[in-house]
Amino acid sequence: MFWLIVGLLLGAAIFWLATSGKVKLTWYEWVLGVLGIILILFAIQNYSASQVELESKAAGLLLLIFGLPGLIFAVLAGVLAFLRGKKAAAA
Amino acid sequence: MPENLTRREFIKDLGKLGAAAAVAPLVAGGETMDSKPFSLGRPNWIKEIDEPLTEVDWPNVSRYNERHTTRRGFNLYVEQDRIDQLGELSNKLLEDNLKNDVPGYTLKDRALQRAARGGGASRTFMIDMEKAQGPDTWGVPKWTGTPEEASQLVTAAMRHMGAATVGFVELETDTTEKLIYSVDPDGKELRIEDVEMPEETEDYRVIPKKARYCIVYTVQMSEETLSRAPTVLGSLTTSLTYTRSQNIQERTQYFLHGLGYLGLAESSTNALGISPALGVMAGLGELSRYNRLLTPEYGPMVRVFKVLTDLPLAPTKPIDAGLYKYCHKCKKCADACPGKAISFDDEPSWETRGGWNNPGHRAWFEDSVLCRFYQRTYTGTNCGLCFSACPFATKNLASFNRVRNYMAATMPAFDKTFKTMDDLLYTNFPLEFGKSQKDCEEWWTLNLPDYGIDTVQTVRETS
Repeated sequence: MFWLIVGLLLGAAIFWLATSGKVKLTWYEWVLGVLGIILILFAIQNYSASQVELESKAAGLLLLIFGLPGLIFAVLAGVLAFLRGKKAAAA
Repeated sequence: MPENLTRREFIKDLGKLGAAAAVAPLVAGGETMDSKPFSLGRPNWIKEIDEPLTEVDWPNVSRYNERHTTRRGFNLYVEQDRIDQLGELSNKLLEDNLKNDVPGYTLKDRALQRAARGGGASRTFMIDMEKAQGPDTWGVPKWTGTPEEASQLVTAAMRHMGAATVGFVELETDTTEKLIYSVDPDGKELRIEDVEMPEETEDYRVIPKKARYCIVYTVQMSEETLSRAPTVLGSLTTSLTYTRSQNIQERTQYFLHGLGYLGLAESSTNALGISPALGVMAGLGELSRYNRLLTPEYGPMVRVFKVLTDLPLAPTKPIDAGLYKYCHKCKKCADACPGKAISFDDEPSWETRGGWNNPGHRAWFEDSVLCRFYQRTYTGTNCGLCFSACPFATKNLASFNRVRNYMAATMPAFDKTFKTMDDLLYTNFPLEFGKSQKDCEEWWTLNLPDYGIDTVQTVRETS
Protein backbone atom coordinates (compact mmCIF):
# COMPACT_ATOMS: atom_id res chain seq x y z
CA MET A 1 0.00 0.00 0.00
CA PHE A 2 2.86 2.34 0.90
CA TRP A 3 4.47 1.89 -2.51
CA LEU A 4 1.13 2.30 -4.28
CA ILE A 5 0.61 5.65 -2.56
CA VAL A 6 4.20 6.70 -3.35
CA GLY A 7 3.66 5.68 -6.97
CA LEU A 8 0.40 7.61 -7.25
CA LEU A 9 1.91 10.75 -5.69
CA LEU A 10 4.98 10.56 -7.90
CA GLY A 11 2.89 9.90 -10.98
CA ALA A 12 0.72 12.92 -10.18
CA ALA A 13 3.78 15.11 -9.59
CA ILE A 14 5.45 14.03 -12.84
CA PHE A 15 2.20 14.50 -14.77
CA TRP A 16 1.87 18.02 -13.34
CA LEU A 17 5.49 18.85 -14.17
CA ALA A 18 5.11 17.56 -17.72
CA THR A 19 1.76 19.16 -18.54
CA SER A 20 1.25 22.27 -16.42
CA GLY A 21 3.76 24.40 -18.30
CA LYS A 22 4.64 26.26 -15.10
CA VAL A 23 7.99 24.51 -14.83
CA LYS A 24 9.87 23.61 -17.98
CA LEU A 25 12.63 21.07 -17.54
CA THR A 26 15.46 20.34 -19.96
CA TRP A 27 16.20 16.70 -20.88
CA TYR A 28 19.18 16.50 -18.52
CA GLU A 29 17.13 17.92 -15.65
CA TRP A 30 14.56 15.18 -16.26
CA VAL A 31 17.34 12.53 -16.26
CA LEU A 32 18.91 13.87 -13.07
CA GLY A 33 15.52 14.21 -11.35
CA VAL A 34 14.25 10.75 -12.28
CA LEU A 35 17.58 9.13 -11.40
CA GLY A 36 17.57 10.96 -8.07
CA ILE A 37 14.05 9.83 -7.24
CA ILE A 38 14.82 6.22 -8.18
CA LEU A 39 17.90 6.23 -5.95
CA ILE A 40 15.99 7.82 -3.06
CA LEU A 41 13.21 5.24 -3.36
CA PHE A 42 15.77 2.44 -3.54
CA ALA A 43 17.47 3.80 -0.43
CA ILE A 44 14.17 4.08 1.47
CA GLN A 45 13.14 0.53 0.54
CA ASN A 46 16.51 -0.88 1.54
CA TYR A 47 16.59 1.09 4.77
CA SER A 48 13.14 -0.01 5.93
CA ALA A 49 13.59 -3.63 4.77
CA SER A 50 17.01 -3.89 6.42
CA GLN A 51 15.53 -2.65 9.68
CA VAL A 52 12.89 -5.40 9.42
CA GLU A 53 15.75 -7.82 8.74
CA LEU A 54 17.39 -6.63 12.01
CA GLU A 55 20.40 -5.42 10.02
CA SER A 56 20.69 -1.87 11.31
CA LYS A 57 24.26 -1.36 10.08
CA ALA A 58 23.29 -2.40 6.55
CA ALA A 59 20.19 -0.20 6.80
CA GLY A 60 22.20 2.92 7.60
CA LEU A 61 24.86 2.24 4.99
CA LEU A 62 22.36 1.48 2.22
CA LEU A 63 20.49 4.67 3.06
CA LEU A 64 23.75 6.59 2.80
CA ILE A 65 25.15 4.85 -0.30
CA PHE A 66 22.01 5.24 -2.41
CA GLY A 67 20.14 8.02 -0.65
CA LEU A 68 22.92 10.62 -0.68
CA PRO A 69 23.65 10.52 -4.44
CA GLY A 70 19.90 10.38 -5.04
CA LEU A 71 19.38 13.48 -2.96
CA ILE A 72 22.26 15.27 -4.74
CA PHE A 73 20.84 14.41 -8.19
CA ALA A 74 17.31 15.45 -7.25
CA VAL A 75 18.43 18.71 -5.62
CA LEU A 76 20.74 19.44 -8.56
CA ALA A 77 17.87 18.98 -11.00
CA GLY A 78 15.73 21.36 -8.93
CA VAL A 79 18.47 23.95 -8.54
CA LEU A 80 19.32 23.89 -12.26
CA ALA A 81 15.65 24.34 -13.19
CA PHE A 82 15.25 27.13 -10.62
CA LEU A 83 18.36 29.03 -11.79
CA ARG A 84 17.37 28.67 -15.44
CA GLY A 85 13.87 29.90 -14.64
CA LYS A 86 15.28 32.87 -12.70
CA LYS A 87 17.64 33.74 -15.55
CA ALA A 88 14.83 33.55 -18.08
CA ALA A 89 12.63 35.79 -15.91
CA ALA A 90 15.42 38.34 -15.57
CA ALA A 91 16.08 38.43 -19.33
CA MET B 1 22.30 -10.42 -20.58
CA PRO B 2 22.02 -14.16 -21.28
CA GLU B 3 20.99 -15.24 -24.75
CA ASN B 4 17.70 -16.73 -23.64
CA LEU B 5 16.57 -13.65 -21.75
CA THR B 6 14.36 -11.52 -23.96
CA ARG B 7 14.06 -7.78 -23.62
CA ARG B 8 10.52 -8.21 -22.37
CA GLU B 9 11.66 -10.63 -19.67
CA PHE B 10 14.48 -8.29 -18.71
CA ILE B 11 12.07 -5.41 -18.28
CA LYS B 12 9.75 -7.66 -16.30
CA ASP B 13 12.58 -8.50 -13.93
CA LEU B 14 13.48 -4.85 -13.53
CA GLY B 15 9.87 -4.24 -12.62
CA LYS B 16 10.26 -6.67 -9.74
CA LEU B 17 12.99 -4.66 -8.07
CA GLY B 18 12.02 -2.76 -4.99
CA ALA B 19 13.53 0.45 -6.31
CA ALA B 20 11.12 0.36 -9.19
CA ALA B 21 8.26 -0.72 -6.98
CA ALA B 22 6.27 2.40 -7.72
CA VAL B 23 6.37 1.92 -11.44
CA ALA B 24 6.47 -1.87 -11.50
CA PRO B 25 2.74 -2.30 -12.05
CA LEU B 26 3.00 -0.11 -15.17
CA VAL B 27 5.89 -2.14 -16.59
CA ALA B 28 4.89 -5.64 -15.73
CA GLY B 29 1.15 -5.24 -15.42
CA GLY B 30 -0.91 -7.96 -17.02
CA GLU B 31 2.05 -10.21 -17.75
CA THR B 32 2.13 -13.77 -16.53
CA MET B 33 5.02 -16.22 -16.39
CA ASP B 34 5.39 -18.41 -19.43
CA SER B 35 3.59 -21.71 -19.14
CA LYS B 36 6.20 -24.45 -18.78
CA PRO B 37 6.25 -28.09 -17.76
CA PHE B 38 6.42 -28.65 -14.00
CA SER B 39 9.25 -26.69 -12.45
CA LEU B 40 9.96 -25.02 -9.15
CA GLY B 41 8.33 -21.86 -10.48
CA ARG B 42 11.29 -19.60 -10.02
CA PRO B 43 12.08 -16.25 -11.64
CA ASN B 44 13.15 -16.76 -15.24
CA TRP B 45 16.71 -15.55 -14.58
CA ILE B 46 17.32 -18.78 -12.69
CA LYS B 47 18.14 -20.98 -15.68
CA GLU B 48 17.27 -24.66 -15.79
CA ILE B 49 20.08 -26.68 -17.36
CA ASP B 50 20.46 -30.30 -18.45
CA GLU B 51 23.68 -31.06 -16.57
CA PRO B 52 24.71 -29.53 -13.23
CA LEU B 53 27.49 -26.94 -13.23
CA THR B 54 29.41 -29.23 -10.90
CA GLU B 55 31.14 -31.60 -13.29
CA VAL B 56 30.45 -35.27 -12.55
CA ASP B 57 32.45 -38.20 -13.90
CA TRP B 58 29.69 -40.78 -13.42
CA PRO B 59 31.76 -43.90 -14.30
CA ASN B 60 34.08 -42.96 -11.43
CA VAL B 61 31.29 -42.39 -8.94
CA SER B 62 30.45 -45.27 -6.62
CA ARG B 63 27.71 -45.62 -4.05
CA TYR B 64 29.19 -44.22 -0.87
CA ASN B 65 29.26 -45.78 2.56
CA GLU B 66 27.81 -43.17 4.91
CA ARG B 67 29.85 -44.63 7.77
CA HIS B 68 32.96 -43.26 6.06
CA THR B 69 31.91 -39.66 6.74
CA THR B 70 33.47 -38.01 9.78
CA ARG B 71 29.97 -37.93 11.30
CA ARG B 72 30.03 -41.69 11.91
CA GLY B 73 33.54 -42.73 10.96
CA PHE B 74 35.74 -40.17 12.71
CA ASN B 75 37.79 -43.09 14.04
CA LEU B 76 38.74 -44.02 10.48
CA TYR B 77 40.79 -40.83 10.27
CA VAL B 78 41.74 -40.04 13.86
CA GLU B 79 42.99 -42.35 16.61
CA GLN B 80 40.46 -43.27 19.27
CA ASP B 81 42.60 -41.76 22.07
CA ARG B 82 42.60 -38.43 20.30
CA ILE B 83 38.85 -38.65 19.75
CA ASP B 84 38.35 -39.31 23.47
CA GLN B 85 40.54 -36.31 24.30
CA LEU B 86 38.53 -34.14 21.95
CA GLY B 87 35.32 -35.37 23.56
CA GLU B 88 36.65 -34.43 27.00
CA LEU B 89 37.72 -31.00 25.74
CA SER B 90 34.31 -30.44 24.19
CA ASN B 91 32.45 -31.44 27.37
CA LYS B 92 34.72 -29.32 29.55
CA LEU B 93 34.21 -26.29 27.32
CA LEU B 94 30.43 -26.70 27.50
CA GLU B 95 30.58 -27.16 31.28
CA ASP B 96 32.86 -24.15 31.87
CA ASN B 97 30.87 -21.92 29.55
CA LEU B 98 27.63 -22.92 31.26
CA LYS B 99 29.01 -22.22 34.73
CA ASN B 100 30.55 -18.93 33.62
CA ASP B 101 27.35 -17.77 31.88
CA VAL B 102 29.12 -17.26 28.55
CA PRO B 103 26.60 -15.75 26.09
CA GLY B 104 25.28 -18.42 23.74
CA TYR B 105 26.15 -21.17 26.24
CA THR B 106 24.00 -20.20 29.26
CA LEU B 107 21.42 -22.43 30.89
CA LYS B 108 18.62 -20.99 28.75
CA ASP B 109 20.62 -21.66 25.56
CA ARG B 110 21.38 -25.22 26.63
CA ALA B 111 17.73 -25.78 27.60
CA LEU B 112 16.48 -24.51 24.25
CA GLN B 113 18.99 -26.58 22.31
CA ARG B 114 17.90 -29.68 24.23
CA ALA B 115 14.28 -28.80 23.47
CA ALA B 116 15.04 -28.32 19.77
CA ARG B 117 16.67 -31.74 19.65
CA GLY B 118 13.77 -33.44 21.42
CA GLY B 119 10.30 -34.21 20.16
CA GLY B 120 9.31 -34.87 16.59
CA ALA B 121 8.45 -38.20 15.02
CA SER B 122 11.16 -40.83 14.90
CA ARG B 123 12.74 -41.42 11.51
CA THR B 124 11.94 -44.74 9.86
CA PHE B 125 12.91 -46.20 6.52
CA MET B 126 9.32 -47.42 6.08
CA ILE B 127 6.29 -46.46 8.14
CA ASP B 128 4.26 -48.97 10.08
CA MET B 129 2.03 -50.50 7.43
CA GLU B 130 -0.64 -51.24 10.03
CA LYS B 131 -0.96 -47.53 10.77
CA ALA B 132 -0.82 -46.48 7.13
CA GLN B 133 -4.11 -45.92 5.38
CA GLY B 134 -4.66 -45.76 1.67
CA PRO B 135 -6.74 -46.82 -1.30
CA ASP B 136 -7.00 -50.40 0.03
CA THR B 137 -8.36 -49.17 3.35
CA TRP B 138 -10.78 -46.80 1.71
CA GLY B 139 -11.87 -49.18 -1.09
CA VAL B 140 -10.85 -47.02 -4.03
CA PRO B 141 -8.20 -47.39 -6.79
CA LYS B 142 -4.84 -45.74 -6.14
CA TRP B 143 -4.27 -42.18 -7.35
CA THR B 144 -3.25 -41.81 -10.98
CA GLY B 145 -2.20 -38.78 -12.96
CA THR B 146 0.62 -37.45 -15.10
CA PRO B 147 4.11 -37.17 -13.56
CA GLU B 148 3.72 -33.39 -13.75
CA GLU B 149 0.47 -33.55 -11.78
CA ALA B 150 2.11 -35.88 -9.26
CA SER B 151 5.03 -33.49 -8.80
CA GLN B 152 2.63 -30.61 -8.27
CA LEU B 153 0.62 -32.65 -5.78
CA VAL B 154 3.63 -33.75 -3.76
CA THR B 155 5.08 -30.22 -3.77
CA ALA B 156 1.83 -28.70 -2.50
CA ALA B 157 1.48 -31.36 0.20
CA MET B 158 5.06 -31.13 1.39
CA ARG B 159 5.18 -27.36 1.44
CA HIS B 160 2.01 -27.40 3.51
CA MET B 161 3.73 -29.74 5.94
CA GLY B 162 6.77 -27.49 6.32
CA ALA B 163 9.15 -28.10 3.41
CA ALA B 164 10.68 -24.95 1.91
CA THR B 165 11.44 -26.16 -1.63
CA VAL B 166 10.78 -29.54 -3.23
CA GLY B 167 12.50 -31.11 -6.25
CA PHE B 168 12.60 -34.51 -7.89
CA VAL B 169 15.33 -36.77 -9.27
CA GLU B 170 14.65 -39.87 -11.32
CA LEU B 171 17.22 -42.49 -10.30
CA GLU B 172 19.20 -43.92 -13.24
CA THR B 173 21.33 -46.99 -12.61
CA ASP B 174 24.51 -45.58 -14.14
CA THR B 175 24.22 -42.09 -12.74
CA THR B 176 21.92 -40.71 -10.06
CA GLU B 177 21.28 -44.07 -8.37
CA LYS B 178 24.92 -43.89 -7.27
CA LEU B 179 23.94 -41.03 -4.97
CA ILE B 180 22.04 -43.49 -2.77
CA TYR B 181 24.33 -44.71 0.02
CA SER B 182 25.64 -48.28 -0.09
CA VAL B 183 25.51 -48.41 3.71
CA ASP B 184 23.23 -46.38 5.97
CA PRO B 185 24.51 -44.54 9.07
CA ASP B 186 23.43 -47.42 11.33
CA GLY B 187 25.59 -49.83 9.35
CA LYS B 188 22.75 -51.51 7.49
CA GLU B 189 23.48 -52.19 3.84
CA LEU B 190 21.15 -50.44 1.38
CA ARG B 191 20.26 -52.91 -1.36
CA ILE B 192 18.44 -51.91 -4.52
CA GLU B 193 16.66 -55.00 -5.84
CA ASP B 194 14.05 -55.94 -8.36
CA VAL B 195 11.39 -56.79 -5.78
CA GLU B 196 7.83 -55.63 -5.23
CA MET B 197 8.02 -54.51 -1.61
CA PRO B 198 10.71 -52.95 0.60
CA GLU B 199 12.24 -54.95 3.38
CA GLU B 200 14.26 -54.24 6.50
CA THR B 201 16.25 -56.76 8.53
CA GLU B 202 18.96 -56.54 11.19
CA ASP B 203 21.64 -56.20 8.51
CA TYR B 204 20.13 -54.56 5.47
CA ARG B 205 17.35 -52.56 3.90
CA VAL B 206 15.93 -53.37 0.47
CA ILE B 207 14.79 -50.57 -1.82
CA PRO B 208 12.61 -51.95 -4.63
CA LYS B 209 13.99 -50.96 -8.02
CA LYS B 210 10.59 -49.51 -8.90
CA ALA B 211 11.07 -46.77 -6.28
CA ARG B 212 12.89 -44.73 -8.93
CA TYR B 213 11.81 -41.28 -7.84
CA CYS B 214 13.71 -39.36 -5.22
CA ILE B 215 11.87 -36.47 -3.61
CA VAL B 216 14.47 -34.00 -2.39
CA TYR B 217 13.34 -31.21 -0.12
CA THR B 218 14.78 -28.41 1.92
CA VAL B 219 13.73 -27.20 5.34
CA GLN B 220 14.61 -23.64 6.25
CA MET B 221 16.94 -22.65 9.05
CA SER B 222 16.80 -19.32 10.86
CA GLU B 223 19.40 -16.84 9.56
CA GLU B 224 19.01 -14.74 12.65
CA THR B 225 19.72 -17.72 14.90
CA LEU B 226 22.60 -19.16 12.92
CA SER B 227 24.27 -15.74 12.87
CA ARG B 228 24.91 -16.54 16.57
CA ALA B 229 27.22 -19.41 15.47
CA PRO B 230 29.47 -20.92 16.73
CA THR B 231 27.55 -21.31 19.99
CA VAL B 232 24.95 -23.64 21.45
CA LEU B 233 22.37 -20.97 20.66
CA GLY B 234 23.51 -20.72 17.03
CA SER B 235 23.45 -24.44 16.53
CA LEU B 236 19.92 -24.97 17.77
CA THR B 237 18.34 -23.88 14.49
CA THR B 238 20.13 -26.83 12.86
CA SER B 239 18.77 -29.17 15.52
CA LEU B 240 15.27 -27.74 15.18
CA THR B 241 15.37 -28.11 11.39
CA TYR B 242 16.29 -31.77 11.74
CA THR B 243 13.43 -32.46 14.14
CA ARG B 244 11.01 -30.51 11.96
CA SER B 245 12.11 -32.59 8.99
CA GLN B 246 11.31 -35.76 10.92
CA ASN B 247 7.67 -34.71 11.02
CA ILE B 248 7.70 -33.71 7.36
CA GLN B 249 9.29 -37.02 6.41
CA GLU B 250 6.80 -39.19 8.29
CA ARG B 251 3.83 -37.17 7.01
CA THR B 252 5.14 -37.43 3.44
CA GLN B 253 5.42 -41.19 3.87
CA TYR B 254 1.79 -41.31 5.09
CA PHE B 255 0.72 -39.07 2.22
CA LEU B 256 2.39 -41.27 -0.39
CA HIS B 257 0.90 -44.40 1.14
CA GLY B 258 -2.45 -42.62 1.15
CA LEU B 259 -2.17 -42.18 -2.60
CA GLY B 260 -1.27 -45.87 -2.94
CA TYR B 261 2.52 -45.65 -3.36
CA LEU B 262 5.69 -46.38 -1.42
CA GLY B 263 7.42 -43.80 0.74
CA LEU B 264 10.91 -44.88 1.77
CA ALA B 265 12.96 -42.39 3.70
CA GLU B 266 15.87 -41.68 6.00
CA SER B 267 16.24 -44.15 8.86
CA SER B 268 18.29 -41.60 10.79
CA THR B 269 19.81 -38.16 10.28
CA ASN B 270 21.59 -37.86 6.91
CA ALA B 271 20.67 -41.41 5.86
CA LEU B 272 19.57 -42.82 2.49
CA GLY B 273 21.61 -40.68 0.08
CA ILE B 274 24.00 -37.77 -0.36
CA SER B 275 21.87 -34.72 0.33
CA PRO B 276 23.87 -31.93 -1.36
CA ALA B 277 24.40 -34.02 -4.51
CA LEU B 278 20.73 -34.95 -4.78
CA GLY B 279 19.81 -31.33 -4.05
CA VAL B 280 22.02 -30.19 -6.95
CA MET B 281 20.56 -32.82 -9.30
CA ALA B 282 17.02 -31.79 -8.30
CA GLY B 283 17.82 -28.14 -9.02
CA LEU B 284 17.21 -26.99 -5.46
CA GLY B 285 20.53 -25.20 -5.55
CA GLU B 286 24.18 -25.37 -6.58
CA LEU B 287 27.23 -26.88 -4.90
CA SER B 288 29.07 -24.21 -2.94
CA ARG B 289 32.68 -23.65 -1.91
CA TYR B 290 31.89 -25.11 1.52
CA ASN B 291 30.72 -28.22 -0.37
CA ARG B 292 27.09 -27.92 0.69
CA LEU B 293 23.91 -26.91 -1.11
CA LEU B 294 23.56 -23.19 -1.84
CA THR B 295 20.01 -22.26 -2.82
CA PRO B 296 18.75 -19.19 -4.71
CA GLU B 297 15.95 -18.62 -2.20
CA TYR B 298 17.60 -19.11 1.17
CA GLY B 299 21.30 -19.28 0.39
CA PRO B 300 22.83 -21.92 2.64
CA MET B 301 20.12 -21.56 5.30
CA VAL B 302 18.52 -24.93 4.66
CA ARG B 303 18.97 -28.60 5.45
CA VAL B 304 18.29 -31.14 2.72
CA PHE B 305 16.30 -34.38 3.03
CA LYS B 306 15.13 -37.25 0.81
CA VAL B 307 12.21 -39.66 0.31
CA LEU B 308 12.06 -42.41 -2.34
CA THR B 309 8.80 -43.41 -4.00
CA ASP B 310 7.41 -45.43 -6.90
CA LEU B 311 4.91 -42.65 -7.68
CA PRO B 312 6.08 -41.46 -11.13
CA LEU B 313 7.22 -37.85 -10.72
CA ALA B 314 8.38 -35.29 -13.27
CA PRO B 315 12.07 -34.62 -12.50
CA THR B 316 13.20 -31.07 -11.89
CA LYS B 317 16.36 -29.91 -13.65
CA PRO B 318 19.66 -28.65 -12.23
CA ILE B 319 19.97 -24.88 -12.20
CA ASP B 320 22.36 -22.07 -12.92
CA ALA B 321 21.56 -19.14 -10.65
CA GLY B 322 25.14 -17.87 -10.72
CA LEU B 323 25.86 -19.17 -7.21
CA TYR B 324 28.58 -21.69 -8.12
CA LYS B 325 30.30 -19.02 -10.22
CA TYR B 326 30.00 -16.54 -7.35
CA CYS B 327 31.77 -19.05 -5.06
CA HIS B 328 34.79 -18.99 -7.38
CA LYS B 329 35.52 -15.38 -6.44
CA CYS B 330 33.96 -14.97 -3.02
CA LYS B 331 35.87 -17.22 -0.56
CA LYS B 332 34.16 -15.56 2.39
CA CYS B 333 33.29 -18.92 3.99
CA ALA B 334 36.92 -20.02 3.72
CA ASP B 335 38.04 -16.74 5.30
CA ALA B 336 35.54 -17.16 8.13
CA CYS B 337 36.38 -20.81 8.82
CA PRO B 338 38.47 -20.84 12.03
CA GLY B 339 39.39 -24.48 11.46
CA LYS B 340 40.85 -23.72 8.00
CA ALA B 341 38.82 -26.62 6.64
CA ILE B 342 37.52 -24.89 3.50
CA SER B 343 39.47 -24.62 0.27
CA PHE B 344 40.86 -21.27 -0.90
CA ASP B 345 41.56 -22.64 -4.40
CA ASP B 346 40.27 -20.54 -7.26
CA GLU B 347 38.96 -23.57 -9.09
CA PRO B 348 37.28 -26.73 -7.78
CA SER B 349 39.25 -29.95 -8.03
CA TRP B 350 38.76 -33.63 -8.81
CA GLU B 351 41.16 -34.48 -5.93
CA THR B 352 39.41 -35.30 -2.67
CA ARG B 353 40.84 -34.32 0.72
CA GLY B 354 40.16 -37.68 2.36
CA GLY B 355 37.93 -40.70 2.60
CA TRP B 356 35.09 -38.54 3.92
CA ASN B 357 34.69 -37.09 0.41
CA ASN B 358 33.06 -39.14 -2.34
CA PRO B 359 35.26 -38.91 -5.48
CA GLY B 360 33.98 -38.56 -9.03
CA HIS B 361 32.97 -34.94 -9.11
CA ARG B 362 34.78 -31.63 -9.27
CA ALA B 363 34.30 -29.64 -6.10
CA TRP B 364 35.96 -27.61 -3.38
CA PHE B 365 36.40 -30.56 -1.05
CA GLU B 366 36.51 -29.66 2.62
CA ASP B 367 38.85 -31.04 5.26
CA SER B 368 36.21 -32.59 7.43
CA VAL B 369 38.70 -33.70 10.09
CA LEU B 370 39.94 -30.14 10.62
CA CYS B 371 36.31 -29.00 10.81
CA ARG B 372 35.49 -31.53 13.55
CA PHE B 373 38.71 -30.81 15.43
CA TYR B 374 37.79 -27.14 15.62
CA GLN B 375 34.23 -27.83 16.65
CA ARG B 376 35.17 -30.19 19.45
CA THR B 377 38.07 -28.08 20.71
CA TYR B 378 36.62 -24.59 20.52
CA THR B 379 32.82 -24.67 20.25
CA GLY B 380 31.62 -27.82 22.00
CA THR B 381 28.82 -27.91 19.46
CA ASN B 382 28.19 -27.48 15.72
CA CYS B 383 30.04 -24.54 14.22
CA GLY B 384 28.09 -23.18 11.22
CA LEU B 385 30.28 -20.11 10.65
CA CYS B 386 30.68 -20.98 6.94
CA PHE B 387 26.89 -20.92 6.57
CA SER B 388 26.36 -17.69 8.48
CA ALA B 389 29.23 -15.88 6.72
CA CYS B 390 27.90 -16.69 3.22
CA PRO B 391 26.72 -13.52 1.42
CA PHE B 392 23.60 -15.40 0.30
CA ALA B 393 22.59 -16.02 3.92
CA THR B 394 20.49 -12.88 3.77
CA LYS B 395 16.76 -12.53 4.20
CA ASN B 396 16.24 -10.87 0.79
CA LEU B 397 13.72 -8.31 1.99
CA ALA B 398 16.13 -5.50 1.10
CA SER B 399 15.99 -5.08 -2.66
CA PHE B 400 19.77 -4.63 -2.79
CA ASN B 401 20.14 -8.34 -2.10
CA ARG B 402 17.57 -9.20 -4.74
CA VAL B 403 19.50 -7.07 -7.23
CA ARG B 404 22.62 -9.00 -6.15
CA ASN B 405 20.82 -12.32 -6.77
CA TYR B 406 19.76 -11.16 -10.23
CA MET B 407 23.21 -9.83 -11.08
CA ALA B 408 24.92 -13.01 -9.85
CA ALA B 409 22.77 -15.03 -12.24
CA THR B 410 23.14 -12.76 -15.24
CA MET B 411 26.31 -10.67 -14.89
CA PRO B 412 28.98 -12.59 -12.93
CA ALA B 413 31.52 -9.85 -13.74
CA PHE B 414 30.04 -7.93 -10.78
CA ASP B 415 30.40 -10.82 -8.27
CA LYS B 416 33.52 -9.41 -6.65
CA THR B 417 31.92 -5.97 -6.31
CA PHE B 418 28.88 -7.44 -4.60
CA LYS B 419 31.10 -9.49 -2.30
CA THR B 420 32.93 -6.30 -1.27
CA MET B 421 29.57 -4.65 -0.65
CA ASP B 422 28.49 -7.63 1.45
CA ASP B 423 31.64 -7.28 3.57
CA LEU B 424 30.84 -3.63 4.11
CA LEU B 425 27.14 -4.12 4.91
CA TYR B 426 26.94 -7.36 6.84
CA THR B 427 30.32 -8.12 8.37
CA ASN B 428 31.17 -6.61 11.69
CA PHE B 429 34.70 -5.29 11.75
CA PRO B 430 37.04 -5.81 13.42
CA LEU B 431 36.05 -9.43 12.84
CA GLU B 432 36.45 -11.44 16.02
CA PHE B 433 37.80 -14.65 14.59
CA GLY B 434 35.63 -17.65 15.36
CA LYS B 435 33.14 -15.55 17.33
CA SER B 436 29.41 -15.06 16.91
CA GLN B 437 28.54 -12.31 14.43
CA LYS B 438 25.63 -11.11 16.55
CA ASP B 439 24.83 -10.67 20.23
CA CYS B 440 23.56 -13.93 21.74
CA GLU B 441 21.78 -12.28 24.67
CA GLU B 442 19.95 -9.90 22.33
CA TRP B 443 18.49 -12.92 20.47
CA TRP B 444 16.20 -13.65 23.41
CA THR B 445 14.54 -10.25 23.05
CA LEU B 446 13.95 -10.29 19.29
CA ASN B 447 10.50 -11.93 19.21
CA LEU B 448 11.29 -13.75 15.98
CA PRO B 449 8.56 -15.29 13.77
CA ASP B 450 7.60 -18.99 13.88
CA TYR B 451 10.76 -21.10 13.86
CA GLY B 452 12.70 -17.86 13.28
CA ILE B 453 12.09 -18.12 9.54
CA ASP B 454 10.29 -16.21 6.80
CA THR B 455 7.88 -18.72 5.31
CA VAL B 456 6.64 -16.41 2.55
CA GLN B 457 10.09 -15.97 1.02
CA THR B 458 9.66 -18.60 -1.71
CA VAL B 459 6.22 -17.28 -2.50
CA ARG B 460 7.73 -13.84 -2.90
CA GLU B 461 10.51 -15.17 -5.11
CA THR B 462 8.07 -16.94 -7.41
CA SER B 463 5.33 -14.30 -7.59
